[in-house]
Amino acid sequence: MTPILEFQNIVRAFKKGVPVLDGVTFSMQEGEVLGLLGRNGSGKTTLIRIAMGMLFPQAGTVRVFGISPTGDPVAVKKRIGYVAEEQVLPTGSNIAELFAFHRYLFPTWDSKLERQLLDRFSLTGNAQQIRQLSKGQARQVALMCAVCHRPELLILDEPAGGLDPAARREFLETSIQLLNREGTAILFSSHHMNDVERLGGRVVLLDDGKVRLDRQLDQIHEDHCVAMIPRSAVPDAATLERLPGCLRARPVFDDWHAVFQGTPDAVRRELQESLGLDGIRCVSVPLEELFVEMVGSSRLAEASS
Amino acid sequence: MILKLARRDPGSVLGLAFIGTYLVVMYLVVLLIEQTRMNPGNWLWNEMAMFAGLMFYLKPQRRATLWEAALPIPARQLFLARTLSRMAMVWIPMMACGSLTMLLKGAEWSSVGATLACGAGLTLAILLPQAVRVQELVIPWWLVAMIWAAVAAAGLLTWWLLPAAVTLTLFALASAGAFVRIWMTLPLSFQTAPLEAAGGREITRSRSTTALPWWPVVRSLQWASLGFLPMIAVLASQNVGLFGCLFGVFGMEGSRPRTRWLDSLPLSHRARLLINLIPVLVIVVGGTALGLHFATDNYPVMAWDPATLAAGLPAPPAVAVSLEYWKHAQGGIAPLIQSPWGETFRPAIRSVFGYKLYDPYSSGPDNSHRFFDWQYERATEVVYGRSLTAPQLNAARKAGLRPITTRARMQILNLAAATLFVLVLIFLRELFRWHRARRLSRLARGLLMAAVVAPPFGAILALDFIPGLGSTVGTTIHVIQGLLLRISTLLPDNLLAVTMAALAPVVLMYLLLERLFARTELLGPVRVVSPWSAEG
Repeated sequence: MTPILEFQNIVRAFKKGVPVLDGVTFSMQEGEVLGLLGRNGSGKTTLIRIAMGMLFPQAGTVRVFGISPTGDPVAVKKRIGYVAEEQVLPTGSNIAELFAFHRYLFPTWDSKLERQLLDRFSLTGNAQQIRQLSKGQARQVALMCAVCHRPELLILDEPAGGLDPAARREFLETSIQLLNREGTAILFSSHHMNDVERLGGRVVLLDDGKVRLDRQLDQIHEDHCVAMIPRSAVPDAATLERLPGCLRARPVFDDWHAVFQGTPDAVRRELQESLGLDGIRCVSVPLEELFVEMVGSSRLAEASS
Repeated sequence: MILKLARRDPGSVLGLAFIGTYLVVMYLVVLLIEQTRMNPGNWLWNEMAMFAGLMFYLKPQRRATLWEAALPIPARQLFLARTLSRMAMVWIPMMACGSLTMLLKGAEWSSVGATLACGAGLTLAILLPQAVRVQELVIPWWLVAMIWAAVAAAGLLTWWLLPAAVTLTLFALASAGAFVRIWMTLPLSFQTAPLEAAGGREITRSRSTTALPWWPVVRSLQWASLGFLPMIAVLASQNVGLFGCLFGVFGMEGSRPRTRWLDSLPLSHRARLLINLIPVLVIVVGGTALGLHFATDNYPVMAWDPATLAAGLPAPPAVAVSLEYWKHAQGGIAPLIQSPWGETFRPAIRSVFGYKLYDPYSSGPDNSHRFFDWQYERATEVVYGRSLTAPQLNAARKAGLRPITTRARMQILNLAAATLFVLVLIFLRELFRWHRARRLSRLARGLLMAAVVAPPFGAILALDFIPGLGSTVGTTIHVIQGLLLRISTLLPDNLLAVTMAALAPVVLMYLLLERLFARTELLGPVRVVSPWSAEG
């Protein structure tokens, strides 16, 4: 089956010699929900803009529905819905005018869904000027613009950034309810782990321009743990990262914290055997902790090693 | 603190960029190009327009950025810093270049008054918008536009009606008054919402409309750039419309960030480019067409005839036509002009960018009045399309006779040239957004920037600083008019054919721009454009 979205060895830099994306490769299938995680500046937005044809990759290929988004952007964008934190709506218009424009651009525009969502979001009248909307309301309008044509792929780039918890939940639940249950694939970027856990699906973690982790959320919960090893037992992080199943290691006070693939008991047994140490603790951690262990203080770890 | 803030302001950077560019080019123009006397007053009007455009670009409606307003800095310091940087942008280049030309070429000291008066006018234009709604961080742009229109009107009136010294005094007093008013009413910190919002007044909701689908796009465009239309029209009416077309680029530059919301929608590159070009075409094509319609007859045939001599002017009888009617001197030597009765004259040579030209309709002090009359009739034939004597020409001009340069086919060619020129400028600007340019090193990008910026700036300066013959119009304008006249003679006597031929290079340039536009990318965060935000 042709992937709905495919990145192959994507490289992109904004400053010569400092790649933001350095050989990113992964793909998405129809109906899949994929959370793109990473720290600020890890390249999430860059990758999404490359998928939208708004940025050109400097190496590698990207295909959306099997089409190059820079080669035929119109064909690609007709089948995509896009909401971004930075997205700006035309402030000089009102909601009705904006919807009229989208209706004109997208022949598949669902007016019934538009009415349902207007009620759901309590947007009192679509004659409201966009400049007079609150941040949350503006994001709701942007979501309506993105979903009412029933896209095959919904791309959400930090969609709930800056919204209060209630508005965030409303936004994300609406996205899932509206589209994913009908088979629409959703690619969303976030550094809010609660959002990722709420949406479920697959997680791709970007760090230093590369894909550090690409797993189903359930697998991550079941099959990953953090081992805490005394600093004195291991000379550097690289030694730990050479051990089988180790994804990342970093120093935290007197310990090394290393993320391993495997259950806590199995990882502890293997570490005790390979390092000949007792005092090793292995624990399952929530996604947020795992995220911090994977990408947190990476420079410090590199410097100390 | 004030100086640190002033240095951060783009106005100071532009001031320094101007002074650097101006000094270098003025030095070259003054010393290397053979000219007579440079009069700063000649180029002041163009500089006024350029500075006004730049000040407009620097968002005069904003007193400080939101970041600056959030710092523990009193509003008075923010005001002083911004005013200082804008003053530097106006006064440093103006005074430096004025002094340089006077030192190197001995321009008249009377020009100093005119220079100062222009500077005072711009100073008032900087201060006056700051004197209204002083509590607010951002004031409505239309208010600024109205104030500037009033200052421009007052400036023009005083320029024509009063001596420069009086104009200077009036503007200086008004500027001082505006400064005092602002200083006395400045709050400790600015309000970040309009006064009516801060005052708790209810914001009126607009009525529901059944708008055309493209309305949101049309409204997103940078219509404020229409402010350049009258200026382009005035310049085009004086046959220097190409200079005004430079400001067409601001229409595109203003619209691109405002229409960025379209980037995620299924619109082709062509559609998005055309959308962004709408304000550019409106101001350039509209302004140029309007100006050409009311184009002035700048006496392309100037004659010092026996009647004038009788009034006591110490000049020989002579005919002078505008540079566009001059001919190329093969081998650098003008041919001998011989009348039917055998009288001869060898015209002088003038070098324009190394190209040797001569006036084929001139005469010398030793020539007879009959020779002068013969040359005059030949000149009017080529300029007006009819062989006329001086009295006949005066009568014909009163009856509506216009030079061939202001007739329909030349207007079509001029309009096409203006459109082509602005498309070339936009192409050069878009080169920076070309995705391949991002792969270059900083040095290579710097060199590319220099290579790209040099031609338009060279064009501005060439249009501006190299004076034409017997007029204040730049030589380059005459050269372009001459080229258009040559093209006109090559085209068939059919307006449709002329239109098609004139459109061809414009369409080609557009297609080239379209190819580039499809490969450009906008980087950086999207700027929120809202009257409610400090970015307004």
